[in-house]
Amino acid sequence: MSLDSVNAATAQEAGPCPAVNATTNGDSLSSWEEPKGLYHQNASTKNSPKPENAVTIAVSSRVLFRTEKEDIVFREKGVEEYLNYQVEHEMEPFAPGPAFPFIKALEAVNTRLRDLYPDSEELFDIVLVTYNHAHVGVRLINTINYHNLFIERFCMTGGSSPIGYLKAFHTNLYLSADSEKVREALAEGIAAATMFTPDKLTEVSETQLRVAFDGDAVLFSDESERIYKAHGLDKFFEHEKEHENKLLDHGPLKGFLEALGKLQKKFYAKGHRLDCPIRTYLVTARSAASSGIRALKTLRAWGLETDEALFLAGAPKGPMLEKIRPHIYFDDQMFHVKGAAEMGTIAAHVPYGIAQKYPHKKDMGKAK
Amino acid sequence: MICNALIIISVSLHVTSQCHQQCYLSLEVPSARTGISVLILARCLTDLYLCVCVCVCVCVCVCVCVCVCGWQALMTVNARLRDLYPESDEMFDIVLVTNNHAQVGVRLINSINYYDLTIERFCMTGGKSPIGYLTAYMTDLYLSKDSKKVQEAIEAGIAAATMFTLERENDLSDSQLRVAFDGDAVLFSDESEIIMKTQGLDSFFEHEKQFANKPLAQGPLKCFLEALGKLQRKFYSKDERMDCPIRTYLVTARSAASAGARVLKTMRSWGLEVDEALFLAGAPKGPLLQKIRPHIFFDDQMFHIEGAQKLGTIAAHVPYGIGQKYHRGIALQPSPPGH
Repeated sequence: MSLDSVNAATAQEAGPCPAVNATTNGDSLSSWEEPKGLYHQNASTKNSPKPENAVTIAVSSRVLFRTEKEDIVFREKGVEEYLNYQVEHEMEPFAPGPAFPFIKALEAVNTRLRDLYPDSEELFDIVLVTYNHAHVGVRLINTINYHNLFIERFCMTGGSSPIGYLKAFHTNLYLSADSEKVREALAEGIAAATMFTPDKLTEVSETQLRVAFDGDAVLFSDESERIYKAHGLDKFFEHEKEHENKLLDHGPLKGFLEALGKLQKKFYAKGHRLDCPIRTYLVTARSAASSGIRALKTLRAWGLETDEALFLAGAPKGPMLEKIRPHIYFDDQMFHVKGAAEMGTIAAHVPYGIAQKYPHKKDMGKAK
Repeated sequence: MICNALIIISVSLHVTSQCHQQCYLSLEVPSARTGISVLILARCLTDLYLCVCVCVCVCVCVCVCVCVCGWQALMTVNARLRDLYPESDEMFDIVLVTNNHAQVGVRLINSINYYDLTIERFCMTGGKSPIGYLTAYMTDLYLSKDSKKVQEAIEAGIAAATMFTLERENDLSDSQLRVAFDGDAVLFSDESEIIMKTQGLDSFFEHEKQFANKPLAQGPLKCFLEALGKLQRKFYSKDERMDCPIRTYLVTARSAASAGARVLKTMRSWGLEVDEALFLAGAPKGPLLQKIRPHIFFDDQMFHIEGAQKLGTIAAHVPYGIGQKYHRGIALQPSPPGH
């Protein structure tokens, strides 16, 4: 490919480009990478990966940033006033919200992945999915640039449900402040969790992404939890011992753990197991000797692993999580989510399974 | 003797909002011999397509298989506008423009009456180009199957797009008209796209950031969006924003943080808005359009049109700008006329 043909390019019309083998991918931006003779391609250019190759995290603007003031305007004064307010305050960036550290950590992982595998598209891809109208888009873009985030895909749905778009983006995880939407997403088979704005955001690592999962009804289905709630602890232990070798069914976040595992293996393959920038934790109220084996065997059968596994046998999770300092912790029971949040952990609720109908005893007063 | 000849009728859709508050939809009928899809646009207060396939068999009885895309949506919008503004005469009027001679006109009239469409204005040009009439009607949008005529119309300053026969039928909304637009070279001019094709992605991002506050020049379909916006505002002013039966979408391959601000600011400076804006940063448009299910999607690049059609979206090609000449670094062959 020579540059000669390009020198003839005029202001109106580019000279004929040398023929290249077109790849069969579906994105128009990749065409700019092929005829390398035409222009310089910076090594630092970050192009968005194709949705099917990447681990796509869809995040709502309300969990990425703190938008309480604007929500109040919307609720009290209606849509038109809200849009005017947003446009007036366009140059004021939003403050970081609960999902912000998580997203920042994802980008840190991306940087390291690009170092090790510069041509790979197996990266984290973040899509901002918001109910907002396009008017608010400018403020969101300004905020993203202010905080130096790299979010290039937006879906501003102007009031309609974004769930359809999640599937089109091959979303691996959806984080939102609205539990209705999260339920819809779970019903569609997309891993999703509701995030809440905590009173204080503890400091988390900027170099290592830490994700903690509950076991039952998050990684695994809620089948065992049903037995526990219906028949009590002893029956639960019996049942688990009996069915030790029978795999548990998978839960809503199993796919996300799998996606994380895939990326972790890329680091292991280059000898970075000890300083891998992704670390996963299983933090379960199960008892190890009585019911732990089934959980571990199930994970093994799925070819998945977590870096750390904490069996608490009912001990409160809050203090453990405070030590772990995960960027996000998924649990299906609001009781645990609140307990974690009280101690400063960023916790997300997965509204799945029997615990939604029969909450933890201490939560009975607030049963849905 | 007469084999199953199908007559192709392309419909030109014009939305005029300046000429006596009337909007004209023009239907153009070339004299073709094989395969037809007829888009007949009925009287409506917004855009709507009625795809009609006319099969002429031996006994010269016209079997029409109607693929109605958006007919119901149109009627719904009409009804709701009449509810809110019973005195208003902001209406659309359809003009059927055909290259054909009067004989075909009879068949057309029969079809139109058979399907209960209200098309009262005809222009049978007997082979002449209809572009002159479009200009006279101050047409805002022209749809045809003939890409040459569409190009002529664009050069004459009329928003136009080439339509294709859809192989798959789509299940579209009856109560809400949905129109999706690409950004560059459709709503906006192709100035930024030229930079991208000649200087690469990084220069493009730099340029867009530098000129984030300078509005882009307008593209061929900007006026059509304007016309839709005018009707939408009639609903908004009666507090029906969340329930508006017209919905517009921007589906662009641009990246949001790097190049999106200029697009949004340009639209704001024009006083226009879209209900939903999807910045794809290069992700394929097909799956998202499949979720949106628009009644029509306008794009300047055949690559995206084909991608959309594969997943059942009705897509119309806007033959404007540098996207016609180069795709993926390869010079494109000009498409055969009447594609």
